[in-house]
Amino acid sequence: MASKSPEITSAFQETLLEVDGLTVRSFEAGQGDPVVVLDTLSWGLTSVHLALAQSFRVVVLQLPGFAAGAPGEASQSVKDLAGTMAEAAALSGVAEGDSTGAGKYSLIGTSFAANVALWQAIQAPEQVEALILISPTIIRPTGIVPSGDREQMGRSLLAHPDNQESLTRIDVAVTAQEHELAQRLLDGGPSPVLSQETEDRLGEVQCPTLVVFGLQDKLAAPEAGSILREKLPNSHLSFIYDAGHAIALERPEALAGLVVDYVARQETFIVSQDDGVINP
Amino acid sequence: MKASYFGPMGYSERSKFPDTWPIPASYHEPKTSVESYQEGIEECEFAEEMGFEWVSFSEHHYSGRIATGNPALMAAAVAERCKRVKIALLGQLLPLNNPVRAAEEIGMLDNLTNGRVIMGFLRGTPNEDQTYGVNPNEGRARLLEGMDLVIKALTEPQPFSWEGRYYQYRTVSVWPPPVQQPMPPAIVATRSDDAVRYAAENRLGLGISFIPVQTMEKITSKYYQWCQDAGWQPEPDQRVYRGSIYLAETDKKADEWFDSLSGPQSRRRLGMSAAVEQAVQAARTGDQFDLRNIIAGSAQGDVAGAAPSLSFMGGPDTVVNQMKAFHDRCGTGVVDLFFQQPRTSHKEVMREIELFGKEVLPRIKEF
Repeated sequence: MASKSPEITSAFQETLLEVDGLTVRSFEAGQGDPVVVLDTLSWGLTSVHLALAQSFRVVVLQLPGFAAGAPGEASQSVKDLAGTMAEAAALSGVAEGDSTGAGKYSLIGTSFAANVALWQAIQAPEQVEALILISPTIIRPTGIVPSGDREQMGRSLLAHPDNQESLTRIDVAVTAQEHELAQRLLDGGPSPVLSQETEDRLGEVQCPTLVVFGLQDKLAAPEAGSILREKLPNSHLSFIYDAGHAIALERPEALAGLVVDYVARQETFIVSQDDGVINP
Repeated sequence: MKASYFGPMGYSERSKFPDTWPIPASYHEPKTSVESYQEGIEECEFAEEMGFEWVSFSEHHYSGRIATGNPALMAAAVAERCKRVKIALLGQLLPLNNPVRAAEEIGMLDNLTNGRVIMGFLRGTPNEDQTYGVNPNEGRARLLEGMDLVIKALTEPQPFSWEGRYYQYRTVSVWPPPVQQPMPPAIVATRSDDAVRYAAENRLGLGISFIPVQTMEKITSKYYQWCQDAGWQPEPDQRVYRGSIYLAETDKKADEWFDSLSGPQSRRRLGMSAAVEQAVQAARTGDQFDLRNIIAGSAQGDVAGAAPSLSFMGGPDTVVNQMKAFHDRCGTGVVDLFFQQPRTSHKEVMREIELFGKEVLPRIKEF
């Protein structure tokens, strides 16, 4: 199930895209500049997706295989999968009629899908206007893989695993699939260091890039944000306070506010537009 | 056990202040004020000479009794005169301030002192909430977020943005980072369970002020248990007690001094109007450790205006025994001592520091 919230689900139109012999589920909503979100939907469509759709034309592409059965077996690497998702994005037509005429879109990826988004930006830079990597697992600590029952997964994914509302949003089967796939496809397997190939290519990402981590993310190595900020040429690093890996479950308003602002303003999002006047 | 000299830099004519808070600026006389700061700095220097290992400063507002609205500013001045002691900020009132600014002050101070800073975080007493118009109901959550932000600001090597509940900064990049890496030792000054637990889980020290030993023991027991749960044990320098002191040559002389006090110690309120006091306390509902009559900077404050808030009093033998009780029952490793009682002069404080250095300090160092 993509979302446990009927009002969020009903806002999106679902279609199925056939790419590379795989079926990619697509959820579309909203008007405006195009945004592509790559996601396993481990915790469904969220209020963050909905917030994006209120300002932009959003297509959420679920990585193939996660809705049923073994995930992405046709993909031999993250790069393969990134190629598949770039085709799916083109097939969705999200960038057609883009106001800039460039046919570009802002690309967002969460968790493992952030790794796919990164490689999509490396391999198809002409398609990507801006890149947003949410809780990327590109640089992982040793030995922490979400597994077991819901409570055990919650301890890996959440800053507050005792919060039942967040806990019940986790799709245990999909989360387990996601991390199995990550282990299979990410070069080098779970590792506290960046793979040499990925590190060598990070400098090619010239588009504005936002890297977002929950402050208590246990699936990312503590130094992951610093390394990505240093090696991605036009990047900005953001921390969401009081959130773990599943930021969308714990601080959805904070994440949505940040991401919507970044898509709209890219690197100028650091310039405050708040009105400081109390009384004129 | 180590001793720390708490430098309140009190206005020397503070005994003439009304027993309300804030103290109107109309009580300020420049010459007296300038002399008072110089006397306070002399006390710090003399404390260092007599063997104190820390000097400390706290953020308190709108009162000449503790005249350090910006403790980092005071610490920087004293650090130029005291070249050996640790410079302890105990501490900055994070709910009132921009935590990034607090981190910048810590970073600068640690560079100016070549790595002698100990940083401390606290929420502040109820009257402090009024200083910059922060909702008292938000104080605890602001403290918890502020601590995370200060620590991140001091330790993150790359520029970053912060999306908090109370703070949002899109560009944070503190310069200079501290000399002490990854960051200076940190003390959480609190009596509240959530902040005590925060200290334990983040391997930070605990500072507790102005409460009796039996109350302190209950809090430190929880802290030590939570530290153990988190897989570590705090060092002696991470177990701090701040108490007020009156030290005399004999118990009899100390008793005579105490008996000579009269006036405000009988008053048991915050020093604000009853309506404001009620509103503040209502907003802080649930803060079981708010000591209703212990208000920094007020006449009844954390000094000898009220007998229960005088932590150590007597001759050297008695004071040593009182401090040993904190060491033995609470594991206290550092006593941070408030000598500037409302009616003690600079000369008397200097005499007490000397007596403490000769008769008390050598003995408590053996604990």
